[in-house]
Amino acid sequence: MVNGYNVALKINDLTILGRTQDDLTIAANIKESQTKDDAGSKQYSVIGQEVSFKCSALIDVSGDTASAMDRDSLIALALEVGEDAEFDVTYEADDGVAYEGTGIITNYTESSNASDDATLSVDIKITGDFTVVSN
Amino acid sequence: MTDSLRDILVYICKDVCPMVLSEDETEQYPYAVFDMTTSPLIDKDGVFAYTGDCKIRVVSNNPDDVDTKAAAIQSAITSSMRSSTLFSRLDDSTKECVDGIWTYEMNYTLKQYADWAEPVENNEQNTQ
Repeated sequence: MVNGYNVALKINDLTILGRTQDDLTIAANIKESQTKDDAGSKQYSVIGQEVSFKCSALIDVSGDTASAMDRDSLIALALEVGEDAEFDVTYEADDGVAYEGTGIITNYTESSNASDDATLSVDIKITGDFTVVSN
Repeated sequence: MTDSLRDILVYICKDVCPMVLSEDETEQYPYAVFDMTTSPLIDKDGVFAYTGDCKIRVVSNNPDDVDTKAAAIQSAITSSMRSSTLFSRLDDSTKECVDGIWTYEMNYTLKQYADWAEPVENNEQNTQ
C-alpha cells in the first residue's frame, strides 16, 4: 500500500511547500477511424498521451524553502514565458518507479477566505515525453 | 509540534477570570470552564497545526457578570488569536438561566500553527 504522503511531485527537485494533494492524469490522444467494414463500430488507436498534474497546497510562508518551493517561487514560475517557463518534473511514489519530464504551469490559483487556511492550486502539463527515470 | 491549545486558552484568559476544565467546576461565582477536543491538521510533510473545538461556559448568579466576563473573554481571545500562528473563530453563543444561575456559553474553533510556550513574566514589573 502506498500512503498518499509518500507520493511526491517535484519541480526542479523541490516539493511544494504545504502540499496536500498531487493528482496525475494521463489522457490518451486517440485517432478515430471508421470504414464500411466496421459495420458502424468506430475504431480508435492511441497516438500519444497528454500528461498533466493538479497540485494543491496550503500557503505556507514560514517553511523550509531549501527543500520545498514556496508560493512566491511558484508565482514567479507561473509568470515566466518561453523556455524560462519550463522546468523539470519528477514524480515518485515510495518504493515505486519514478517518472520525469519537462513541465509548464498552465494554471495557478489561490483561494483565501476569512475562516480557513489559504490554499493554492497549480496545474502542470508535461511538454514532450514523460518517461521512467533510469537508475 | 506540540498541541498547546488548552494552555494557550488558559493563559490568554487568566486576567479575566479563572479558566479551568469543566471537571473542576466550583460554586464560587463568577467562573469560567471549558471543554476542548483537539486534533492535528496534516499536509504531506506532517502535522502543520492543531485545531480545537472549544466550548467555554461563563457561570454566575449575576446576569451582568456573565455578560461582562463573556465579553472580556471574547475580546481576549480575538485580540490574542488572530495572528499567523494562532487563529480563533466564535462559531455561536447562547445565554440561559436555570434556577437563578446564569450561563453564557461560547463555541470556538481555535487553531495553533507553531509551537507555543507561556511568555516569561517580567519580574521587575511584578515587584513594582
